[in-house]
Amino acid sequence: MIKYVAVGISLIPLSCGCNRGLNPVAKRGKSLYEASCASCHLSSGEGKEGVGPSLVGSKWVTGSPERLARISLYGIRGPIVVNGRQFNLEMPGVYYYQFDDGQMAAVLTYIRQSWGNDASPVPPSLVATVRKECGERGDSWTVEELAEHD
Amino acid sequence: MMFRTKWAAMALVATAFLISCTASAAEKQFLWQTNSYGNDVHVIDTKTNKVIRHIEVGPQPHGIAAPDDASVVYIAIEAFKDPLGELIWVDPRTYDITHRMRIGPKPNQLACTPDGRWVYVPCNDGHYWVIDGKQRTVVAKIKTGGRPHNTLASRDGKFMYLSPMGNPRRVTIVDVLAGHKVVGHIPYSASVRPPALSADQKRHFQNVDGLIGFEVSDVAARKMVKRVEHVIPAEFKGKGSRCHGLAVRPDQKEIWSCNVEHQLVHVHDITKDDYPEITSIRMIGRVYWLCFSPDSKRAYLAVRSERKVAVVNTETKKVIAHIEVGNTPKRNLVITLSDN
Repeated sequence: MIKYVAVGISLIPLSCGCNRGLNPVAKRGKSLYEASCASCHLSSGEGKEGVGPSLVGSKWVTGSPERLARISLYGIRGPIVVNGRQFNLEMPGVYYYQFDDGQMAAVLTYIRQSWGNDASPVPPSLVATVRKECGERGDSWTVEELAEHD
Repeated sequence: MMFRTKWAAMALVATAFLISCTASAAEKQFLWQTNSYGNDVHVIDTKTNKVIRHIEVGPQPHGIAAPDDASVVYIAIEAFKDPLGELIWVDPRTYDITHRMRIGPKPNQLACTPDGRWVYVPCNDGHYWVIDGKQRTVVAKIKTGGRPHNTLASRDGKFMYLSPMGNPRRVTIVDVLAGHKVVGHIPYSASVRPPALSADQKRHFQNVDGLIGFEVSDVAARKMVKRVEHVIPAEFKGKGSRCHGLAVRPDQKEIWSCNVEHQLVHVHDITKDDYPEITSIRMIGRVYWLCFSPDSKRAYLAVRSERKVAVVNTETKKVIAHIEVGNTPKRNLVITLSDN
């Protein structure tokens, strides 16, 4: 009984999305984020002006994990509203090539659980499913196309 | 009689000389198309519009430039997975990669001076890396901020125009011959994207975020002087788009601009002060970049969503061919090789 309680307690940081401290997966994601994503979205997640929108408090980040995986793997382009602001940029689909499923899941877990964001972790299996479903899509998503995956 | 004979002989010699010059200066032109999500470049014979060579250059080539004598082709390798990018030297006659150099992260569209000596490469560290193309060394890094992305060299080899994306919202002008010194800026209304430059350097043009069109600046005054909007057909009203791809025809008569999501290329007359739109040309997919043949007769449009290049007759404004290329074609360039 005590053993099961101990296991249960150890899983709480991974599952509840509490922002008290990063779990190991999110920590790994942070390192990858800093190396690859921060140049556009900044270490603070607030987004470089004219280059990348803010990830802080964004429903695009904390909402559907599947939609987020699609965006992150393949990019997104065209008009989009983030936190009430209009953008019309293009995030290239580089991460389809750059990250494996575990790495992508770690980054997504990190951004969903940082800067006040409080959402569930993203398992590698979800990323794998999206990758398999979409293949080498070759083009970024538009908001209209993603609406089917909300 | 002798006088006439002498002049006839001289005329004959002159004619023979001219003929020999023309014959020995026979040239061939090739379109080099980089495939930005692949690892390769397609080389296309512009006479036949056929792919004659496929070169594996490295992961994600995202920039191409060459000097006037085509002694080398410079290609920026973005290398998504790598913390650093590369600049490579390719021999356009043998297609051998003769040198590779590690440079800053995720380099994009570079430019070189017409003599090939100086190469400016925008990297994702906020800097343009300046490379001595002959010595193959990094000689300077010019900080612009934003996300360094596009670059133009003036035809006289004296200046570079640096267009970083993002908050700078301006183009940085560098005096190459003064030791790569920043000598001015041209502010624009929004994040600057693909640029173009008149041959006399009097006018600089920019695609900018938020405008389906382009802005025009007076280079000497360092001031944006005109904002030109494309004519959008009624069927596209309400459909968002952006412009990515801008070039002045070498004969300085027109400027062509790629309207990505509407899949149109807009042609404007740049001989008139108000830059009226002449026509728009429909593409088969999302069009993202273009270049011209040196004689201005052909335009080559990278249709990234279809993995094709569209070849356009610039006189008739008709698409005359589509050429299959690689994964997400973007930057391209026509290279002229002479036989001698």
